[in-house]
Amino acid sequence: MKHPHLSNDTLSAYLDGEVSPRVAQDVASHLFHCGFCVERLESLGKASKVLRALPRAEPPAALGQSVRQRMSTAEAQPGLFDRILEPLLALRLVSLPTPLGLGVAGLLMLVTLGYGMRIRSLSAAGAVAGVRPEAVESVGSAVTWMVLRSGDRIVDVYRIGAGG
Amino acid sequence: MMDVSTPLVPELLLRDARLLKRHQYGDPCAFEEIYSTFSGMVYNLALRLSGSREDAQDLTQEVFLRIFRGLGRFRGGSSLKTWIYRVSINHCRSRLGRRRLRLEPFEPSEPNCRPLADPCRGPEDQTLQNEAERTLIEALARVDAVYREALVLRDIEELSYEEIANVLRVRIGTVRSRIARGREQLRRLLERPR
Repeated sequence: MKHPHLSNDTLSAYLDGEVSPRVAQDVASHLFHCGFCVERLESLGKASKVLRALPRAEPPAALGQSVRQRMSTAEAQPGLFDRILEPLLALRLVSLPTPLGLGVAGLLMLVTLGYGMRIRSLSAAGAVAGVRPEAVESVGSAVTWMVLRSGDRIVDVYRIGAGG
Repeated sequence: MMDVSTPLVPELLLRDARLLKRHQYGDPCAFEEIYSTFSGMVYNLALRLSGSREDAQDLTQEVFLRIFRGLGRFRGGSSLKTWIYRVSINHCRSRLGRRRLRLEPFEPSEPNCRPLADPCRGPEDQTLQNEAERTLIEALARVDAVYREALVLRDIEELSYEEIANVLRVRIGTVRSRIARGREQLRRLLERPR
């Protein structure tokens, strides 16, 4: 009786000892009479072996000092998320699984949606005279914003496109 | 997904809990301890995912900044190690994206690498070893990013499939498939170097 060959997934997991004892037994008995699968197992094993032989890199000693410096700056200037979340946590609003908590979340959503609609309506109104437009791509959210500046002052912000 | 692999080791759980408590109470030594415990792991992961020591240093700094800011919100649903791996992988993904990796000129005499090669080797053997290492690093950089992550976590960081599934938040079947495909890609790239 001719047995189908083993999949790469099974061979690779067998190599790592990440199959059940029953599957391991089945694989071993298949390999006993299948040179093709033995060859594939060996080549997968070689790829794994060379990676394992790569020297382990250690961070440079100066890196620790740079991290400490950034930590002290970070302590002085908490991130935007922290600045928003911390007061809410202090008020115990975000930990309340109650209608009040849901109400606050709903209110925040309405404010956000309202701001988005305002941006869209401004965008439809066209360019504003006397100011300098500047396209800014928001990394992470794939949304592109148009910032209108007058000197160093930001006059307004338009959302001009959203990627996939 | 609840991490059921590493956190079940009581000593590690206890160490994590103590470190977190000390950090919450403002003990600056707690973060120092976290850095000294995990900086090698984060740097090595960043180096193998980015292919560049310069990028790896920047990534390591940024990852520890994220850890510093996010540690207060860590609830212990996984081990600290798994969580730090997850933060590192996510950060490397967002920073490196799908861009082609920036490989830097190979420097075999890197002082921060713990050499595997026998120090008693002759210069010819050492040259061959360096050449093989350079070829491997280049090939690894050309493996698809999702497969490269799984390969690095398995074959370099030596995580179990279950740990990798927890770090990447995918099923074990997906981990198995990514590792197998990664090995297959790497094998082909090593057989036919560009």
